[in-house]
Amino acid sequence: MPTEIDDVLERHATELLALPNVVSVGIGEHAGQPAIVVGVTQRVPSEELEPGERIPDTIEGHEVDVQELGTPAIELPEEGRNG
Amino acid sequence: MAEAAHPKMELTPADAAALEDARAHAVEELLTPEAPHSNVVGVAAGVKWRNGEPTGDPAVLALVTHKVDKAELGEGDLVPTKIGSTRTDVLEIGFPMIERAQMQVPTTVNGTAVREEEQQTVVPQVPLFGAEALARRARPAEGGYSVGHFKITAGTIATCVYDLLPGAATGSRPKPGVGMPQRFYVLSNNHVLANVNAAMVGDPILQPGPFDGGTFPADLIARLSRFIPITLEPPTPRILHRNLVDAAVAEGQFHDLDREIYWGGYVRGWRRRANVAVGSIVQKTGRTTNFTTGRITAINATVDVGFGGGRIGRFQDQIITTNMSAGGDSGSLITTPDEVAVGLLFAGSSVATIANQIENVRSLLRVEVAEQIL
Repeated sequence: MPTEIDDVLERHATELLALPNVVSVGIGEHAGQPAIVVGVTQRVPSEELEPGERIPDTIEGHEVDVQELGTPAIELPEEGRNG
Repeated sequence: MAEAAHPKMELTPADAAALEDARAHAVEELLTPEAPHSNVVGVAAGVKWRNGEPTGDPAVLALVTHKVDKAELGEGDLVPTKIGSTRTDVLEIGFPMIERAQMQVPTTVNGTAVREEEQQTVVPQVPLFGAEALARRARPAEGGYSVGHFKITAGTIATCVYDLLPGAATGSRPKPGVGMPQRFYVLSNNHVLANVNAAMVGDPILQPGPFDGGTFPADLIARLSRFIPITLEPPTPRILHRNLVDAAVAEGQFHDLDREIYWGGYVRGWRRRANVAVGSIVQKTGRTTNFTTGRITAINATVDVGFGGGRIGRFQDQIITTNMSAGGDSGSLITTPDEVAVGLLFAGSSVATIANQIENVRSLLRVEVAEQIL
């Protein structure tokens, strides 16, 4: 059954994925609690980002955990992973 | 492959000529035996990549076994950002020796040097450490072995499956059916068995895959039966994508298909998506990195995945784990440590691995993976 955090993620997934460097959103854990995890190719200091480009610390009361994910690509030989 | 046609991955003859000087200089600077750079195993001319996409700008590529955080490298090991006036890029290629199973001839036996002419006859040849045992031909083939559509490189067999039996259900109350399977299949990814939507039903599937020396007809193991099409950008904007799985099945003969996973064992059952939990330990066996384990870091994930040539597919309802794969492991079955199927591995980065929920694979392809829901 979808829980409340799943609904929150579904409402915000598209806007999060439109931010620079963001390659994934999902449900993970932060400090033992379910959290929204945002995967980025690489971390960028927030002062280098415009206010509208920053990933929020919380969304509707849920912690947002930013994780470096590199650049996801299909796992074939010779695909030249640049993660 | 389609990649070759991507304009931003190709160099003009003028660019290539200009790069040759920089490349030669880089060979001296990066590959000199007097002052070796850690992990650098080659140098090449290519284009600069950014965010997983070719920019079209000429660049000298430092080929490394693996990328290392700058903080962990000494000054002498850093790849400079420019060589002369040419930009550099770092391309992770692993250990180049593992691309083909090589044989290594020992140069000493019991401390005694072996003369070159003796090496062929006297000394038993042993597989080089790190050689890809699962890249060889195997009959019956098992989960973990190399496989591929005849026009691709190579991926991995997840396991072997059959059509849902009478009484089987998908959706909110899934259950296995009972009866007599008419067909048996190799399960893997669309991009392994169906060449990213480009294949025709009936196309030959080779074991091992072409990259590992598989040829038609000698290594034919199955023929493509069905695949779930993948929507890609371009041409479709990713905001419209509804991809759930990168999955396909190819029908083979029962006696050639063993659903045991090499090193893992028999798949005892499969897990519903709602019961796949963050923090769980999982394992897989794959063509390239053999047996590995990882931990689930996110579920219900929406991920933008590169398909080569600048194409991106946005996938929903994915499982993200710590890194447990590399190129060639696509198609591996991700299971719990006690061999309950959880996911179908299809993508990864240098730090993470991404898999489809096995429940979505089962219901979309309408195949049974195991007889119990655990």
